Amino acid sequence: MSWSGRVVLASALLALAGCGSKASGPCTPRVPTDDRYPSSLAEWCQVELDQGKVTALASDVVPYELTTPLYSDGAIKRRTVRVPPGTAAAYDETGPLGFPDGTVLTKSFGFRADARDTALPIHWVETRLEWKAQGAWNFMTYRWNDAGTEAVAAPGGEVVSFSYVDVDGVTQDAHYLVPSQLQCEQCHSESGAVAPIGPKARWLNTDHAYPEGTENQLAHWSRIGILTGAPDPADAPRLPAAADPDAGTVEQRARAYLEANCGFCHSSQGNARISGLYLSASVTVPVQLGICKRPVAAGVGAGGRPYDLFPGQPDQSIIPYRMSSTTPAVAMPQIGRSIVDAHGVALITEWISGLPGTCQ
Amino acid sequence: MNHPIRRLGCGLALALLAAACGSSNGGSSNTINIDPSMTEAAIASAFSGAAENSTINMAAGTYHFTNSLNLSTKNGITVKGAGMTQTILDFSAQTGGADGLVQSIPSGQTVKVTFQDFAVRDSAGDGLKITGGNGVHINRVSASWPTRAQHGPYGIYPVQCKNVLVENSSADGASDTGIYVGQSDTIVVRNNVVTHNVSGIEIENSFNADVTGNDSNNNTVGFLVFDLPDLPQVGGHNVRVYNNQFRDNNTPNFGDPSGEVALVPAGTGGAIMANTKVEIFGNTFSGNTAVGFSVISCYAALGVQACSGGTAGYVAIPSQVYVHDNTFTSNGTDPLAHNTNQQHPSFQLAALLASGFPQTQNGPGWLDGHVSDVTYDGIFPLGGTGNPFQICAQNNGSGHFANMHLDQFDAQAPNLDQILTFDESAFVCSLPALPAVPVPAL
Repeated sequence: MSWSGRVVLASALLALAGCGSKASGPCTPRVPTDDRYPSSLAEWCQVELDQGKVTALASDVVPYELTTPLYSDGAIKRRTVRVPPGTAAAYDETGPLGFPDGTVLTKSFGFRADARDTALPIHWVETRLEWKAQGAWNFMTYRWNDAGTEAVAAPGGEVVSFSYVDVDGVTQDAHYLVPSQLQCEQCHSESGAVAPIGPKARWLNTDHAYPEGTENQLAHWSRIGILTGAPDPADAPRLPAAADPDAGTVEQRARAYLEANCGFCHSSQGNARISGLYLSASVTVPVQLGICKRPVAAGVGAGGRPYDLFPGQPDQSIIPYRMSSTTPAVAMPQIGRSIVDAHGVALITEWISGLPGTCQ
Repeated sequence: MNHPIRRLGCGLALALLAAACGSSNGGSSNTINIDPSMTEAAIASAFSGAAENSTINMAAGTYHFTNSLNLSTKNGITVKGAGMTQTILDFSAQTGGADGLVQSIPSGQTVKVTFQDFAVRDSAGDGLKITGGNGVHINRVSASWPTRAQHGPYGIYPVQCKNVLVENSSADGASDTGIYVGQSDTIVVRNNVVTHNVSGIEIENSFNADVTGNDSNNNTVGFLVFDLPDLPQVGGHNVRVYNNQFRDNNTPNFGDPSGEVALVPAGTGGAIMANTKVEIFGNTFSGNTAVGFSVISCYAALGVQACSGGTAGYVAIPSQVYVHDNTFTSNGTDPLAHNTNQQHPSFQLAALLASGFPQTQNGPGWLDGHVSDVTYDGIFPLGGTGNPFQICAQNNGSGHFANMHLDQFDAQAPNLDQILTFDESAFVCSLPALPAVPVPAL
């Protein structure tokens, strides 16, 4: 066991090994009507931890996944969606699905002591909630106690430091960010008004293993009546799993990775709009994508490299430089990553290496 | 070992007690008192949760942060300390986030904010950064890097804001610009002191700005009015720079080599690049050893490719620039004096200026043993002679005007002494005074 043992996770795992049974009985999921939130996650009646697994507390709390998730220090993530009974989300080809008021999304973040050993229990750090009320989205995260029996609202966020062994067998020292309410909004303002980022058709258009069998998520949501207007999955857009070499070309996977990890800020309305660098997969203007684009306000973040993206020359490109750093003011994304995503860096490096053309 | 997380966790618990079952968006105007005995987590909660029209009062003392401090984006917040030397926000131990004190307002909102009477020190990135405000008042705020080895790019940095007033403030040591207003509209920057930055003050890609009453000394360059391609807002115009002091800006350029300011030679009083309608008057330029003041195109600074195409509306050539009634003293005496690092981009323009001293009997070279006080790159991309873009300079005391004709410059065999001309006749002219920028109602 390669825990540093210096902080929370080791003791938490011991606690999990000892108990971790269901903490609550039957409940009815809360349908929010305003921006208020209870202090305990249990009062939402969406998910709980049962034997170390994130478990839905009602049959209409539906688990889902995204083809390419945001890298969050290598956290394992579990997501759920619940719309009020009798309502449905409206399909949208490009933006987030049109969820109705009363929708609750959850996303739980956890780690194994050794990510290579899937038999190990997952220590869950937090469960983040988004809910829609009166036409507006709201955010709060709930921090799990070490025993995994209760999660309480953490509006101010927290930095949680621990070590774990990643999927490559490398011991990583994480300073994992449990975001404050405001930090949630910083990333979730992709289109100005705060909104979900992940649940878009192009990220959802993939299979999920449901208890009753594997099914495409768009098809499943349509079949159970929580999504209307969706085309056949074959006719819906799809971005590949960046981590899966068989899922698409290097270019397709690299663009998917950049959108998932950068595009929510680097968009024309997002938090990094001032840069003019837009990294959504749909961007076609070369300079907006960073090709031969000089840095403006990067300062030391540019690392002396001339362009955001220099075709054929990853070592002269600022994007992989900032992805490879954990130094504040250099590292990108600015928040939510304290460990270098070596696989992401490798993918972007491979893509840039193969891009034709030059600058000047 | 007393681990910082333990302390954070304790502070968080206190914050939670205060916030339990609170409202995320509501709340009425109120006053929030902050003092240095509070944990970082509690302070971060107070800043991020501040309600509309609330005032955050920060008692005197030094506050230590390990993360960026993010301010709520609710309308009408005031963040107020006990004075620029009394309330210190110290980020020297910062390990998370990029900048110091940050307010990132989502696009499409109208949010007013006031910052006053405190200092931000040793932030990893920018000191105070505000994105997207409308009615931004920064008064008696200081940004500096007294102990951090690698300084952040900007000290005081409103960007994509409207109605900005930065006054009575200071910035020292920024590795790009001390007070930088970017992609904004309706701006007053007055009565500030900026020192030891690469650029003291910069107005970039902005509309309607007044820069006045500032003391900009011992930077690499006193001020810049730049318009850069490929940004969401381009077409900088209507900028007045008047009654300022730009003296002894001779600090060797320590900007990251990839940034635009890295191109500026140490010893530059001020420069404008691109922009339309700029009026420079009543200023004192003294002791800047490379050049008093320059008017250049994007082409001269960044090259033709970087300045072409890009965002619609971008104009690479400066026009309607009126430089008058300034005082020039002892500028341009030795362009290479403080530009000795040949590996740094700033060396190139320093060497260019130095090549204007008479090298042969064939060219005129700089007059009177110093680089002329008002220099113009003279690049006319569509040809033409005379003064097609209305660059006017007059009543600048004994200061000379020079057209450097950089379209004829040979970078391989620097020949400025042979191509520059001092025929002022086409450039001694006047332009209508630009309107004053109304001080934003704040």
